Amino acid sequence: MNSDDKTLMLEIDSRLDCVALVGISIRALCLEYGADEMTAYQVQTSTVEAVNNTIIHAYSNQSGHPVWIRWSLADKRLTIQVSDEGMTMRQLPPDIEPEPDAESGRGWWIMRQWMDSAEYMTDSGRNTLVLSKSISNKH
Amino acid sequence: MDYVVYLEPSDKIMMARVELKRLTADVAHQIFAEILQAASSTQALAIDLATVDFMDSTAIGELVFLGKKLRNGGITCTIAGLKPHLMGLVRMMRLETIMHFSEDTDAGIKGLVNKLKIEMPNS
Repeated sequence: MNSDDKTLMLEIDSRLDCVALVGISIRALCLEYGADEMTAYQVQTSTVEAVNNTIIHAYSNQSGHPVWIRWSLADKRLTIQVSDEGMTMRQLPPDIEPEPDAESGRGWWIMRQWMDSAEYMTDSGRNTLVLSKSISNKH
Repeated sequence: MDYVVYLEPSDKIMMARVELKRLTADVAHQIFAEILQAASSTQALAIDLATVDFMDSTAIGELVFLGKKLRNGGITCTIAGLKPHLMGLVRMMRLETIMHFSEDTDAGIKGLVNKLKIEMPNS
């Protein structure tokens, strides 16, 4: 790890009212380390979507379970890992634009639109969504 | 949950001003359910979201649900005062094709008055 690389680990309980804390922290970190306002907003939104999905789907909206968020910056690339030990997604949502009148199903689409990549993996009972974005990108 | 919903009921145009910074999955359903219940006997509804800095996709889904319920009930609605970055999200989601958005509450009410051909509130 390069001495300029930065990493922060956060852990919250699987409660939707805790997600804002994550979003606020991620946005502040992005701004502190060189992201512009729009990039920071996009990363904040994508992270909130990832954590919401974990709580709502992996943990069926039940509190009392851990959600880990790992923020890191290396070579001007932001990486956010959101991990849980809940139910594993068997299939990723299709990469199609949701209809305007859809009442759900926008989270993955937002993450795919606003991050450079969104990859889901599972290992030994732990599911992790890895979001990545270059902060030199302009929108 | 740190939010306040101010309601100004009317049989013509009801105002609902939502005061909170983050309209997200933990509060969106409750807020819009309160507004929907209060709007049952009005012709039109203006929802002021000017204080909102952040919305997630769950809140957007709840907004879409509210819009459908209002439409089915014959109630015309405008969403007023969304900040520019949130309007960007609205446009990305193509919500402008199914809902009406206005720059601020005054513009929203004027639009409703013109559309429904009714008197301005308090005129």
